[in-house]
Amino acid sequence: MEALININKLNLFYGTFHALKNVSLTIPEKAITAFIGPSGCGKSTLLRTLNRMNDMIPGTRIEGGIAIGGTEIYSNEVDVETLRKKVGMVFQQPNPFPKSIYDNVAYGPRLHGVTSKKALDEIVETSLKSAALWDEVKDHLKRSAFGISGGQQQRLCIARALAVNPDILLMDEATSALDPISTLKIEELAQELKDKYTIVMVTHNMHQAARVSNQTVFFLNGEVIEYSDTEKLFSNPTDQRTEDYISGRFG
Amino acid sequence: MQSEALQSNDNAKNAPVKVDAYKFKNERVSIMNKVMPILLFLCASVSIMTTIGIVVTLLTETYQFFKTIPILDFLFGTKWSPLIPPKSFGVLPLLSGTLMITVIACLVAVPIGLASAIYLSEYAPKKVRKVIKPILEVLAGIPTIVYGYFALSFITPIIQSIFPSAGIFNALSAGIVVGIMIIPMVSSLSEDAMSSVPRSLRDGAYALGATRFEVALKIVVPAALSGIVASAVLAFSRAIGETMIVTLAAGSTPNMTANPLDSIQTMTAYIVQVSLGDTPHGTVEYGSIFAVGMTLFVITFLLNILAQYVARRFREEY
Repeated sequence: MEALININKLNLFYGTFHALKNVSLTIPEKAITAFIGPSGCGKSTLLRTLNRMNDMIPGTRIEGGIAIGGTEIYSNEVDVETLRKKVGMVFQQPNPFPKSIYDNVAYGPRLHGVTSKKALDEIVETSLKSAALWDEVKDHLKRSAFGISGGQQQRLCIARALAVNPDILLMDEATSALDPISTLKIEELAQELKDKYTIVMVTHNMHQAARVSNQTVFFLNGEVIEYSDTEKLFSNPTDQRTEDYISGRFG
Repeated sequence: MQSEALQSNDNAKNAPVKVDAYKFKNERVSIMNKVMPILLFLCASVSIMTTIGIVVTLLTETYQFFKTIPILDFLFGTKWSPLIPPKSFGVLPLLSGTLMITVIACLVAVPIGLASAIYLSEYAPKKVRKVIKPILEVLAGIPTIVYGYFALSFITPIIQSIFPSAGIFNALSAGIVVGIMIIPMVSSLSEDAMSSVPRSLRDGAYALGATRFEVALKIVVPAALSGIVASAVLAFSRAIGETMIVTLAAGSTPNMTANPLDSIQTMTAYIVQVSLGDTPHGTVEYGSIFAVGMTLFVITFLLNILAQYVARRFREEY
């Protein structure tokens, strides 16, 4: 597995708060990398630096670098919108737009200039199929996205993200608002998607990380304590703090 | 009071429990509970009674007026000449004057108000918003007579230098200034509606590679549309009822014209003209201001209902 994302001595500050401390990581291509750790450990913050969603929070300051496919994403030559097209994101709460199912998926492609009805139809169908939602909604694409269940909404959000053809998919605790069955569906979906996409997921749920990810990163207080193959991290952690966390002694 | 209460408590400890102690009765509480609702209801009914009074006065006077002037002549007549014979009471010139002012005002206020709302809600840093919002609200507090002077002494000369044919009194100048006056209404209400669009929707669009402007225009504005439309309709009805600016700057020539550089007269300005003049009570001319007032009342009333309907009907859930 080749490294797609290289994070090099990254420090991030919210005002005076030092949220990420000297983080260095490589994230492999076409695999699932999971970020775990207790609340406030910086795992979501790091995820949000990968598509520069942190830019919008006033007072954020960054030192060090993140390169995706060799390009430094915080350099002046990068425009954020194009970056975000390549690095899709799914959020904790399903956040479909107040539009129809079809328009939700077509939103991104339309934004980026796709206008032909035929092309849009095709994108909507493939995206919904990739998100394992097509069979459930194909007969009522024109209905409001609010009419489907929370789990379906989250898969719709995944379809929406896939519709702009990203390389990387960020999942920010994407199952934490869902019931166990919907969660399972999303996990299975992630397993399928990793053949085509590089997936980085933040999860509160250690078991989820153990079930689905190839590589796991353990964060504590803004630092990366340990990262390795998921199997090794959970069966044979090198750091005492990792062992304490995964065995449920804190967090 | 307190020491008394304590004492009685002490007594109660020694003496056998009296049934009275458990009656849970208190003069203060029961009087308050009876009096306060009545008092508050009376206060609330002041405005209701006033409204009823106004409607009744309008209706009776208007009824008297329509006894002499047929209602159809009033509604569809195209000549308004109530003071100078041959007298004629066709309300359309006043209506068209009012409508022209209102349309010009909305053409000014809706785009500018919406643009400032977008700026305030989507672009402005917190500090800037903290300064601009109060300033906009001050604009809403300026007496309309001052706006009237502003129209007459500032806007009109500018218009005249661009269009030499424009009169001292013209609809354009008054319309523009009425528009400026209602900008804060549009921007403030629209901004409230846009700010209440949840962050998660914006995040979703940003994460797809939308620019700030695309997020504002394609996500936030549609999601806040009910509030925005309602603010525009309210502004429209405010513009229709505006009096001082048009009395000062638009002139007093009831005139069915499509040219905004002409002098016109609005319904409100006509009412001012007659109220201030020496028109004797009980005459047809005097009655005409109630008919015009009634027309105005019906229009703004319908518009306010429309605004409420729109706000409910187009509410996008999120």
